[in-house]
Amino acid sequence: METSIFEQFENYLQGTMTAEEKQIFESMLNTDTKLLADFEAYKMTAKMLENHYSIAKKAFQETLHEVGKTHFNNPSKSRKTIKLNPKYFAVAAVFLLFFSLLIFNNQSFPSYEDYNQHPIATFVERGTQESEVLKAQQAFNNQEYQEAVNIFETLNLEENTEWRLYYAISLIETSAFDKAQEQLLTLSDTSFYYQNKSKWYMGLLFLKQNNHQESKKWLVQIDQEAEDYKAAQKLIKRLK
Amino acid sequence: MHTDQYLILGLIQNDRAIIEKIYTLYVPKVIRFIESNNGSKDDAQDVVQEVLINLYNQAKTTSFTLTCPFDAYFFLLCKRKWLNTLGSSHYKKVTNLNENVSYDDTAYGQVEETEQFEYKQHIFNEALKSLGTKCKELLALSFVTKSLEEVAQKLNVTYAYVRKKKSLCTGELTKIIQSHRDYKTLTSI
Repeated sequence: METSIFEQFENYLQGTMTAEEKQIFESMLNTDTKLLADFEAYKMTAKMLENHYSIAKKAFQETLHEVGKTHFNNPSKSRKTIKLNPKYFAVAAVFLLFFSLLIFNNQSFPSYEDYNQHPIATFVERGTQESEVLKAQQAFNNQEYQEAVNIFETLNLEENTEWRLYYAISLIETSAFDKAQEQLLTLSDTSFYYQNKSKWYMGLLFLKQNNHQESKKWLVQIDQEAEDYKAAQKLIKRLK
Repeated sequence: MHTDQYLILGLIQNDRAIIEKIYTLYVPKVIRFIESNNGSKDDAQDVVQEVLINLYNQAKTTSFTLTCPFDAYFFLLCKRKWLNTLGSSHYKKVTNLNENVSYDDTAYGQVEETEQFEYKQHIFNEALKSLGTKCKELLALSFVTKSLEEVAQKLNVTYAYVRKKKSLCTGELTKIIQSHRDYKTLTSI
């Protein structure tokens, strides 16, 4: 597809074509089935994008969340009964007690190590090989976080918000918490796209310092549609 | 159009009373089903929310018309979503399940349409993730900021550049979606 065709699609959808341009465009759509298919695909993508970022959708998700909470808070009336053979009752009871204590302890004391499986860094784009960035990427993926920090500090982070995210993660890993926090806040301010990600990592940053209150404060701000929403909700439950 | 269409309208208008009504009238059956099929209340909550968000997306982006009662349709969507979840840990394409259900053809047809849309939405979400960072940033800004002029100011570029880039990025995203292996087999709405 010619790149200029997308601009035409956009102009048509926005209604900024002249009457003549519109006529020509519509007759093209009528005669060229591939063009029509591409246009329909573009139109759908544009609609999905608009919906994806819409504030109305966020409000809807918020309402769902609230209504869901009130409706799901009623305890279940059904109870499962486990029939125990009296012969093995004592053994079964001890086993259950031990097992449930184990789970209880695990659930009650979440640790940073439960959550530090970071996404793989893949900054180096096709055809643009910058050796320092590649080194940072490799260091990060090899979990050599101090090395990654050192290299990130030589890069101009203004150039690429993704680098800043991985720099921040590396700082958390090397326990440079103040610096990490600073980077995550800058990330949140300068990148709309990474807002939820930076909140997730703020949550982990405080979890690593065993500050459960602060951690929860950040995790609850994560949007429902975000990648980390489900994980954040599960962690919030463990932090209670 | 079925008279229950007002429920769909209520969803897209974020009408709290209607959303409450859906939870009161139609969700308990879903909870009972999931709890009797290796699931918990939390699982039921997840399933219900996913289904409702999907219906919202479908109604917002397509000309969605309900042609059957909401009751059977909603239950079938939730049931199938739960059974799919049990079957795999990742999202998978819906396959026709052999069930003895007394749903009429319209409910089933509507369910299939919704599940196909959900898969299209999934392809969109995946494609958006793989779009270049600069495009993602620009698209995010352009849909959130009041005007493209403001976007141009924020990025310190010209308005003409933003307009052009927005359409090119949308086009690129469209191409990624169209190149998905399952794109051709999905029927167009």
